[in-house]
Amino acid sequence: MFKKQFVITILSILILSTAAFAVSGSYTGRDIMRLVEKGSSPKTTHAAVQLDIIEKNGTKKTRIIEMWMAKDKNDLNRTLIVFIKPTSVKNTRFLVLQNKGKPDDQYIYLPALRRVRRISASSRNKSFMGTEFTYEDMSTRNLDDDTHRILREEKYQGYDCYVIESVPKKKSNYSYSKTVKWVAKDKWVILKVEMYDKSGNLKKVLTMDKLEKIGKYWTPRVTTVKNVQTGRATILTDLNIEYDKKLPSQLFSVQYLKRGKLD
Amino acid sequence: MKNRIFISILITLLILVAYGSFSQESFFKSSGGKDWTSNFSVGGEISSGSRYFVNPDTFGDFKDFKAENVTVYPYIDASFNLKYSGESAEACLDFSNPGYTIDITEPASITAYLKEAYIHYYLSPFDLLAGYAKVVWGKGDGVHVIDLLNANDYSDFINGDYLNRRISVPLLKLGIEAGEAGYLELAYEPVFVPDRYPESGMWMPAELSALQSSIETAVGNLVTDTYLSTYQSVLTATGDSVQAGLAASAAAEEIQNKAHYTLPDTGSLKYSQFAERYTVSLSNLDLGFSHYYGFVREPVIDTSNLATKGTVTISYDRLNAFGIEASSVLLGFNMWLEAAYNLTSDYSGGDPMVHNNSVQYIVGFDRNIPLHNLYVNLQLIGSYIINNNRIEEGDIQYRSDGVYHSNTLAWSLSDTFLNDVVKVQLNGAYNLEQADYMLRPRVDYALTDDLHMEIFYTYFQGDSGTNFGQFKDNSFAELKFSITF
Repeated sequence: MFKKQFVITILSILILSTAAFAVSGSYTGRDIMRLVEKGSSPKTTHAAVQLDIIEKNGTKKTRIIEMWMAKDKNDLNRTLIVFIKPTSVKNTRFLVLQNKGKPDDQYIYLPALRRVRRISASSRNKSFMGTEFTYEDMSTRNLDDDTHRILREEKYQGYDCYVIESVPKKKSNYSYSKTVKWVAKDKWVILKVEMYDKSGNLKKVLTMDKLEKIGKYWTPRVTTVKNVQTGRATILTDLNIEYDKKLPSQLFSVQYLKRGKLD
Repeated sequence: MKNRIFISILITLLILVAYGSFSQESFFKSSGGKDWTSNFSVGGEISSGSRYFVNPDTFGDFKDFKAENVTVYPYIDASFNLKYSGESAEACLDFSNPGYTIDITEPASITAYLKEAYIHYYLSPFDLLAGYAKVVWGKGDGVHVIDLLNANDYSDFINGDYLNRRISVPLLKLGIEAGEAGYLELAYEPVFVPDRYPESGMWMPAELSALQSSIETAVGNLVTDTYLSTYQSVLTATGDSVQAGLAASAAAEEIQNKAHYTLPDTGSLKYSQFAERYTVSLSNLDLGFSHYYGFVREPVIDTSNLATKGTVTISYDRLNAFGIEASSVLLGFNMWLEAAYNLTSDYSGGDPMVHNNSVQYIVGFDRNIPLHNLYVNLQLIGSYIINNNRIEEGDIQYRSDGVYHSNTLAWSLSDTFLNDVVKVQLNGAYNLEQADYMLRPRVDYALTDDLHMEIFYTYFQGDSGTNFGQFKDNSFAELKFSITF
């Protein structure tokens, strides 16, 4: 009897130990980023956004944009941004089409020339419309472009987070030497990103605030990117957002980019 | 026709505004209730500045420069637009009063200031544009060889804004989605709007100036000959010198006052034009094919009756222009090309009064340089007249130097500072065959998002018979403020 009880006890300890290991030790950095990708991936997004560009001296410029995002039949991302205000950039339109295994196709429509032009890779690290986002920041980064590892776990803004370091596998085709992300554990949402320049110095910090559940999706209503080296910042505030509405595929076409209207 | 179109667009705009006021709540209301958008907008631009004409050749050394070496031309340009933009329709009325000065002594009909007036209706899979509009075809950057629907305004050709150098035309354009990534456009223009040239002033082209001089000389000679011959014949017939003088004066005055240009009625349906264009975006390549059936914009000037009748006949050659355009990104360079084959009725090139067939092309690229915010844009714009070995003296395209091809290199180098607040640019164009060129260093300072200050200098150089060299005494500096609203 004693021997039977001993075996049961040992087996229980082994099973519980295995379960405990599965709960805390089975996630890799890649697993977590994969969960982030799956968790925050609505089929479509339509948002009206106020974009405030804050200079080091505190002066502010405001842009209003409308954004649409969707996945095509190959699960590749499509993004369209249209500038609504101010007058100087009104009707400037920007289209990003993700490709598999090669850089995204990016286009911009310039209303002053009534012309659509492509954006080449040489422009990718240039500022997008004067903001702290670059054209590269606007393009899609594939999960396996980077090596991900868990640095630690800590609390951020009251949420338990994994802190993940992502290092590009090909250093030459990314502007940052690494990024560090705070991922809320139970929501699989990124709350903060630190971006490091090629010299390894902290360059930009992106924070997501006012987390709100809209439909099935946790959504930061305010996103701030601060360039710690220049003191400038860009703040995105969602004026309105809707998910998983049916969007016509023609919206993400070069033809729409030029015409600005759906047939 | 312009008045009728203007009134139609205005009524349509008012109906659309009334309809739009009952449209559903905007997607753009902020949490504070502010609505950032409206279907109806009023906008425009006012720019004011001065052009300072300084010719370095008029003073020997910089230390000899005096204020008297500078001629100043102040100006105000204003444009104002009313626009409606709804889910399935757009309408626009765009007015402008460009020019060096506002001429308040000669008020004109409101339609004289109409820059564009159109409605654009969208109904899947079609869209229809109708009215006075500017349409841009081609992948070139600020210059095109297949963009033939609109006329050109050369009265201020050094204006750097491409659309401001174009004249809207009455047109009907149907767009049709063709396949997943294709788009077909069919355009019809009922009348032909000729290019506009300055008929006086410092920007009058040398060729036009020479033509006017020829007309003045020929008409002067004809007036004199007519006076003398009429006086003699009346004196012989009547013996009355007073009567002879009166008759001779009347005959001479009739020659002087009659129209010296015989112009075609390009406002008739005989001058209709048609055009088609198909564009498609493939993975890394954007392609387009186009065809234009219309007229060669360069007029045919027939001076055969100038000496005997004091008149010059203007006409326009029929044209079939076949175009191809492409753009792509290769090795980090954004590249594009346009090419057009211009087919006239002079297939063999032997008709001196009809333009020969010709080829025109643009090849260009741009790229950001990994040094600060440097950017370079380079284009080669070329043309070649086919069968030019059959062009002899007396042909409308005859050139004494026998060079029937032209290649111009146009470039723009720029850098930005203070997070795109200040832009420094060096633009220029150089003709490889004639070695004439234009240079324009420029600084643009964005005082606010919508208020800009520009300072630039435009310098021309070359032989007097060349495109840029003919204006070499017109080099100028400009200070300009512009506000958009």
